Amino acid sequence: MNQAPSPNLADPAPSPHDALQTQDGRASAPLLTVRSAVYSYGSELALQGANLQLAPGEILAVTGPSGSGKSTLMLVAAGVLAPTAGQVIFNGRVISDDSEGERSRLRRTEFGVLFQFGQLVPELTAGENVALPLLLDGAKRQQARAAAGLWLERFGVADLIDVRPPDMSGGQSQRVAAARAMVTEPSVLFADEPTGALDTMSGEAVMREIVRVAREAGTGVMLITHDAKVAAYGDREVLVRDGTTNELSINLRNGDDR
Amino acid sequence: MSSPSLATSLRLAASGGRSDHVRIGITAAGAFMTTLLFFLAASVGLIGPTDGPYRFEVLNQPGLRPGVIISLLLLTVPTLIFVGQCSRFGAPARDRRLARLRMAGARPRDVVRIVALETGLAAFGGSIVAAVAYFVGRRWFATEHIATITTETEIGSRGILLEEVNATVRYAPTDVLFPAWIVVALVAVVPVLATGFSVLALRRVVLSPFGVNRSTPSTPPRLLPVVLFGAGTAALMSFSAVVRLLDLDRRAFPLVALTGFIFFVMIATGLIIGGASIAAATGRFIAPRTDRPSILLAARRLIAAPYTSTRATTSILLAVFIGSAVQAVRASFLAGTDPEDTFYATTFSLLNLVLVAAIVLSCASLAITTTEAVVERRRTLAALKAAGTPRRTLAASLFAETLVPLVPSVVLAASAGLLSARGVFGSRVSSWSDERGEVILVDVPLPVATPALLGVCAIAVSVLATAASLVPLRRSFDHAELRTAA
Amino acid sequence: MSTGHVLMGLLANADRHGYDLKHEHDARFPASRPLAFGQVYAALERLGKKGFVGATEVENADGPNRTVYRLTDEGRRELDDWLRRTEEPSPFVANPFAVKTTLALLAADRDTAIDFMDRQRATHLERMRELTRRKLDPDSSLSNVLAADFALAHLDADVRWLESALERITHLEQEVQP
Repeated sequence: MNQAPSPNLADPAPSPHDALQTQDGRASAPLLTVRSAVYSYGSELALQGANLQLAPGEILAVTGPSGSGKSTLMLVAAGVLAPTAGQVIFNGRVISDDSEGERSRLRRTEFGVLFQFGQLVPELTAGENVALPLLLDGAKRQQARAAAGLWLERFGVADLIDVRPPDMSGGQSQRVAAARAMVTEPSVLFADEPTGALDTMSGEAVMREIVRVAREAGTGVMLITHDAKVAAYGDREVLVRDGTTNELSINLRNGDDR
Repeated sequence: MSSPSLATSLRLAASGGRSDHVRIGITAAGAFMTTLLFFLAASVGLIGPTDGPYRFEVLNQPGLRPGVIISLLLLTVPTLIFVGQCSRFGAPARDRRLARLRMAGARPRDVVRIVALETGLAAFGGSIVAAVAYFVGRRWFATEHIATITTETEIGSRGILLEEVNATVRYAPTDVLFPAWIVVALVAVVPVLATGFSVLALRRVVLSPFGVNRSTPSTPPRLLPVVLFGAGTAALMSFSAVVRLLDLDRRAFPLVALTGFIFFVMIATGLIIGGASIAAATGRFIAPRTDRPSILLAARRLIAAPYTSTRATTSILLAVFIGSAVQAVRASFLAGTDPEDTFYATTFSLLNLVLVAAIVLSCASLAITTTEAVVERRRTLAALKAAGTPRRTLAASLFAETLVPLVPSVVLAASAGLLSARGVFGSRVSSWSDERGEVILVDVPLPVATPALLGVCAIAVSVLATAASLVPLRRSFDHAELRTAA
Repeated sequence: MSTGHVLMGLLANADRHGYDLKHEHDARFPASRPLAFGQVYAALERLGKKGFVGATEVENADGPNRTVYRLTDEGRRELDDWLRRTEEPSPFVANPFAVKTTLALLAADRDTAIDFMDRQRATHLERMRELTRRKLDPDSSLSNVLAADFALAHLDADVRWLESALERITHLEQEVQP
């Protein structure tokens, strides 16, 4: 039972110009690359040389035990945190040296972020929550609301458009939050334990929707989870351990079973 | 069944985190200010016939001392509101701690006792320090010196002799004697009020082991404040005309004064309740119309929590209302007196100073409320920031949340104060400054500049207070909020 | 758990031929070993002797007569009894990869063991991804989804065990060494 299936190969020393094998074996330039990223919270070193690559439309699971640095890796990759050392490259451009304002704009337009819970503004309706990123980018109210309705529908919660988050279930909130993360049609969706606060069935339903919508929209997903069952929704897995990405799982050699 | 020992309750009351310590600190600071003001007011009230004279004229004339005392007591209104507001600081964290105590077996009244102890002791600490500070300050300012003052001497039964004399004076009534019971009462009043308030505030709160549920009315009344405010203002605006028409002026002065006061309280109550109503109404008007995310966020928040955003601005509105009324009274007084005599002008200027101080103090409460609102929502704000929302959008929404309901409220408060005081004191007053020494009627100018200045000052200080809350807004973008489950 | 009880369960809602029973079983339990026809008939015979199952000859116009089996009242009682009895939780300690992990620690160095475990995890994950894809397929039947759920839950348990084993190796290595 230890025969490894067809491996997903990546160059052990990733570079933004390297080709990357996606699931269907098609080679493409990576959309997002994190190279030798180091990040410290004060004296605590959360990342000590992490690498990863995400191909366009790929669903990449980033796993590891709690405290391994996987959330920090996501925040660095998403440009929320600027790495202490190392680089983040998006579409061939180094974004880790950008100013906070530029990275904010990038997050607003090219990235979507989804957290475990507590990200919706409780006073806004679901429709307004989803429309918010569009309004931030200068869209008109009617236009933003129409788009919000569309994305709520894609996540199966169109009927919640005028409902406020405190009146929603956990699963509904996550669907609305996912709709908000996707409303700008980002290239990358960053999802940090998106089902962490949900029970098994609603968690499964939310993951099902996220995967389906991301595949339809061709959005790459960086899925942060400690749960192997959630990681199994991905095309590929990167293991984070003690602030470093596991080379073995990035560069998964054929596990020969001698 | 026995209650936990005092020592245990004390330890539990002091066992909170950083925000609990801050709350205890600012409660003590508020109590310090209030008690100090009480001591100052009491020292004026205790001036006996053998005390004095003082450098400040208003203290030498017994007829003016009540005005000084009232002004000082007026200042304790915003500081008392501040003490009350302090109990809100770090409330979510404290509520979680209380729920955990309930889960661990504490009864609701044990929890109430802990809260009451915390507030009461913090306020008591502040009051004690205030008493010490007062008596130390008394010695500090006790030095006597020679200055020119005006003395009043009654001559016979009708006349008063005013003389300018050089005398040994003190700056302030540092020579009055405080009976011990007054000192005890003054030290006790703020802690007792604060404890009473915190216990009262918890009465509407369900202290369950799963959390603390505050039952706040979500929709403020719409009609009641309009009726109170509108009827009160209309009544006072036509007050002197009606009084003259019915010729009540001489016959039933106490009744007339009482009626006027009741209308005045009606307007003030209308303003207090109406603040939240205005907030909710403007929110409801703006929310479905705006394209701007910052305004949308603010408007929705005003609808969801109208009391939260307006609670702290209540005392600002009252100060503007009273202040504008004072401007009208001032105009009326100055129109009827000799322009050479600067006494009234100076006294009213001092009163204006007190009003500005009251507004500044009120804004301390506002700073606490807005800061607390930011801290309470830090997770949502951090998530918005991570999703690329610029900080200026969030800052703008916080400013809008304060200013959108405040600006119309300030305009209403200022107009009401001005017009009702003018209605009571009349737009024409008798003056003696005729060339032939005859009494003539002069028009009272409508003072627009000073009430406007007062309103602008109130709004400006509110902006500063809100700006202070942006400091934790910066800190709230700490990514740690996103990594840990709250 | 006996084949007899499984067949009785399948007969609970409808009477069936032995042939149907085999196919029904294989379709319902895709993760189980398919039944042989001999097994089915032997089990039905045993059930008949106990009076749990009754057999009726049915005329077949196209070919030879076939026997249709049905659950008797006694069989229904036995089935109900059996359904109420819980199964002994089966320990999976003898799983080959678990044995191998322990042996890798004993017989090889720590890095080899960790390398093995990492690759074993990746192998598990690949299988889990495949099962998840099957679950996400809108055409999957409920039986298939349930079977995939079952397999996923067990593979997930394996992965968790691997993770805790790795934690123990890094923290308590000396205790495993001989």
